[in-house]
Amino acid sequence: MDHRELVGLLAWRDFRVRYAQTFVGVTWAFFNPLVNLLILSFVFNRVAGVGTQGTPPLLYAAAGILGWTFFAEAASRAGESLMGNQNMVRKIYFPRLALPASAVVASLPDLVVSLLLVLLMLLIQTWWAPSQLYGLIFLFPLLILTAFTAGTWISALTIRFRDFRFVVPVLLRLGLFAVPIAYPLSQIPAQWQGIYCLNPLVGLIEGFKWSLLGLPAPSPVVWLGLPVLITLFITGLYLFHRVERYAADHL
Amino acid sequence: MSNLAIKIESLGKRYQRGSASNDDGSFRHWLSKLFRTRPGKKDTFWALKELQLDVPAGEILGMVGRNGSGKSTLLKILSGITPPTTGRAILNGRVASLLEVGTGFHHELSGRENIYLNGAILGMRRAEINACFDEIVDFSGVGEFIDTKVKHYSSGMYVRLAFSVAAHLRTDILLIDEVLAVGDAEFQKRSLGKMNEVVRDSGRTIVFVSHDLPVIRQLCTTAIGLDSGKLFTSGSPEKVIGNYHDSLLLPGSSKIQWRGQLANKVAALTVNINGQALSDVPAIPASQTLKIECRITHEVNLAGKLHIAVYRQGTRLFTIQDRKIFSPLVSGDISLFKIAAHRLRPGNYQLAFGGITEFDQGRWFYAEDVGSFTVTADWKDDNDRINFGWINAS
Repeated sequence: MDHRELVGLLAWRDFRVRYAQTFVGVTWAFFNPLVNLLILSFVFNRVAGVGTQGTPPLLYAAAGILGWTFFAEAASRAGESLMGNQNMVRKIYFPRLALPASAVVASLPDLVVSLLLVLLMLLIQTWWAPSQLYGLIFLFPLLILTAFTAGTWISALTIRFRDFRFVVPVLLRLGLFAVPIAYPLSQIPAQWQGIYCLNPLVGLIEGFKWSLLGLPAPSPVVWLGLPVLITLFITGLYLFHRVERYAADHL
Repeated sequence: MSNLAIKIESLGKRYQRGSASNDDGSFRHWLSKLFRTRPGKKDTFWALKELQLDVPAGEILGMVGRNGSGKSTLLKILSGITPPTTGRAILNGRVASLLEVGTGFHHELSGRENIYLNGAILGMRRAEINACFDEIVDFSGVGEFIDTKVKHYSSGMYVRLAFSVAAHLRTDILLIDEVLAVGDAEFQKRSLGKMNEVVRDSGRTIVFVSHDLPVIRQLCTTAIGLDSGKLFTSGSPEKVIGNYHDSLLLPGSSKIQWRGQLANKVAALTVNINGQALSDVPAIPASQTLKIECRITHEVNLAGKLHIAVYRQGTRLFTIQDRKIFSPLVSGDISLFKIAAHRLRPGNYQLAFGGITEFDQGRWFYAEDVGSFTVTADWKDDNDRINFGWINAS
């Protein structure tokens, strides 16, 4: 049985419902990241005076925050998806993985719109079209996979341990500073870079900045995140599968 | 038997009791459980135990049982929502379930959008939904409101649409919990007709839970009765319903749910109609008189009155007292209530039994569904003119 239709319809439902009532709703979706962008840029580039590899600070942070915003939104929505649909989970059988998957898919339109906004900024600021945009072809799937992986982990853990849902926002807020959005990877002391790059998001964010801003390729150490991502993806699916069987009893 | 639709083998489901209060699902609770050296005595109960059942394809299986007897748990296991603790259930074919009306419906979406969404959740492809879309809409009678958000629907429209989607799905097995009770009589009738048609025309199998025993009798080809998670009777609907009634009325049973301050004082009663147990009296001809005997089995050191009440489809029709003044309730005393059956319209009636003590004490007990009976239709127009619904209790 093909479940793509189910994922698609659920995603479409989430998207419709989210933006059905309000035009303001659409604006809100970009308000939060915009504030984050201004804060990060201010703290790191203005106050701390961290260099931005020769690009305008605001643009630098915008390229960095693009992937992070999608990740944070999609992962937290996916993480809440089973709790949020517990009526359905308790009363209908369907593949539960469709819920986090559709939550990630439903966040894609936001990603596309923010990408267009960043490209617009690029055009206005610099008048050049970045030649490494092709990198997005690899970066987007990896970003989506990362968000989905986090979503399976969070939703599985949330079902098992209710209090986990209070941990997630804290982690995401920490993550905003722990990934190199408004500062380059080179700010991290060389001996710590290996550990730092175990976070798959570090490589992704660096990759986005490389692709969108036409920067030199990031240090190869960022590839360390890839095996970590794959491991987390597989273990996340396994964990989710273990938990989903009893989801209706735990909810 | 190759064409079994459902095969259930020593199925059991164990739940943690009081999990709501004790295990709040928090990490702390899990940790404390992990580090407890000797696990405390686990407070568990079996919602289903050692269930064994074969359902051939093309049957309409009715399931009866009191609240908490495991009916819903069984449906949940069959539909795959929750796994069994022991044993297994094998279902041959695609399964759709309607355990609650309108789950998977979203208020902000229109009827049309919800049909597609709900269909997909139940496992149908878009093309399949397209093929029977018009039928679904027709049957639901939602008509022009199909593009209106369902939050503006009446609850009746909501139920009709939800049932319509599930009933038109091309699945082999359809599991239906007591959901039809929500619709109006006309729709209930059509739904039952639809279920019949579905089974007859496409050989699908339906598992159907209802407290509405006449419906089970009328619709189902076979039936089972559950009690405390165990199968206690199976076979023809007639037989199962009979056994179910008996089980409700077993002397000394706590199965009747007594309410009131005196509830524990009246642990049992016997009800019989014309000297026979209720289950042996499937129908009472209107020409007969109904004699209902109620016996108190525990002594209550109070003066009081006993009464029965007759219900029809959840509506209390009348109440009859057994005495005019309060007098001591003594164990073994029998109260006899007589009703001329022709004063009741043909149909099904439910009995309730209760008692009150003198008003300054204000104590009472009451139980619904202590029995039921059917009045058959040898009933004359004359009765309408002669009787104005007076009932003489004696």
